[in-house]
Amino acid sequence: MKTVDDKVLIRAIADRDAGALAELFDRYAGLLQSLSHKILDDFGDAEEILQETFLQVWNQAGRYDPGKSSVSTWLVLIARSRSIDRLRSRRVKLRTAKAAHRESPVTHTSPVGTRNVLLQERRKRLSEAMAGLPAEQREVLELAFYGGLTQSDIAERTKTPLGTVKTRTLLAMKKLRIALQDDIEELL
Amino acid sequence: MKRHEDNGFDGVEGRLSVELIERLNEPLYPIAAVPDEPPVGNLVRELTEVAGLLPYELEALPPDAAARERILRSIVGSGTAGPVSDRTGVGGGDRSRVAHPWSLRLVAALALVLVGMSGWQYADRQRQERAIEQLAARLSDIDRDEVEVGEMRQQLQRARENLALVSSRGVQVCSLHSDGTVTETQPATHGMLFVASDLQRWYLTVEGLAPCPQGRQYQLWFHFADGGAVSGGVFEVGPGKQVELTSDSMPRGSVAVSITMEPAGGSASPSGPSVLFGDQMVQIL
Repeated sequence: MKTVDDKVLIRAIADRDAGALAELFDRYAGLLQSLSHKILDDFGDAEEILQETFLQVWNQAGRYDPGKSSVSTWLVLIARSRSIDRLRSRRVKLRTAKAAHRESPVTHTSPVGTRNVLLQERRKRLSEAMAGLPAEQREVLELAFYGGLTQSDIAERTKTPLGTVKTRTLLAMKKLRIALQDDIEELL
Repeated sequence: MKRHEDNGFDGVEGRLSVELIERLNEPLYPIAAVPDEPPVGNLVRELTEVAGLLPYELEALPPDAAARERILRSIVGSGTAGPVSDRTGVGGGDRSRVAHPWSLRLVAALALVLVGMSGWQYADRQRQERAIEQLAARLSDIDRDEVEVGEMRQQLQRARENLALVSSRGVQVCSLHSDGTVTETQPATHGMLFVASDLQRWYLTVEGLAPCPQGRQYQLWFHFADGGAVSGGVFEVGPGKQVELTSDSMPRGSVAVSITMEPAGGSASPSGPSVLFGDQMVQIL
């Protein structure tokens, strides 16, 4: 169980509380680094994105608006945005060189205690919800979220009309919204 | 409203693109007349949280202790300075009440030490203030960079939209030339108007246009068969710059396009010299 709400941590970080930043880091670094690694497929880049994300949190905690999203979602979308920017600017040759230089085994520690149990349960629900989507809906969602492709790019890649891509994306999101209603209410 | 060629997750400051959600929402949801609880707003918020939940499907990859320390230290430094020890209390707790020579020498020596240490503290504070100034300047640079990235992203979106238009099937093209009947001839000037197959979306690019004289602006006109004309807006151009204009709506029945030089703020109808004119639409794709 969290002893301090995420929003309270953000307010403390806005007051330059380094301890609060460390606490928030320990709660979300695993999630954010896995997201960046999924997008960039490089541990070194994923760690850099993690640093950039929390540097942005440190500098812009005062701008966080709880009316727009939960802290968790705010962090996820920042990390995703930075990862996609890195992905889009990366050249194929540079990617090959960096992969050769950095792709060495890195030791990861798993989160311990009650939070790990909660994360595992949420992961299970997400996996089940994603598995429940039609393949074509899951595909467009993953291409958009993890691949950073525009809807026109997705339409071209999947050889489907643009309108169909938009509809599939929205339907997928709405199905997940229903399947994950409990998690959403927990975050709101 | 312009289209945004993002994918719904590229909103500002880690939010979903509201415009995209609204546009995606149109064919599936009628707008409910509930003034206190707009459905689109609630939907956006909940779908934003859905986006935030997606990565929870992944196996967590927490950094190891060394990486954690490295990252946090790079953000907040080596931690806040501890309370400054009250060095002024050294030797001052039990001052002699009688000016004994040894005491005087001791006090003098201690005074010298204190002055030295104050000097060190002063130098430390100066260094601290410089470091704070440098960090503030760096933060300002980062903020500016973020604004520039945001602006570049918008430019990229606009460029994508324009490319999609000019390469779309059924696009019509009208070449604009100096019509030779004007006093403000700019022979190096040339324009291209691209109109989408819906005859609504259009994109205009003009090269070689010289900056207007003081107090004047260029004005775009759409002409009709009956001789009337509707303004497409006023604009200015910098030296050597290309002009790009675009809109989602074009006056129906337009048969020609022109650019004239008008008084600043524009005119109700073309009154100034014509700079460019075109009336031949050609379908190229």
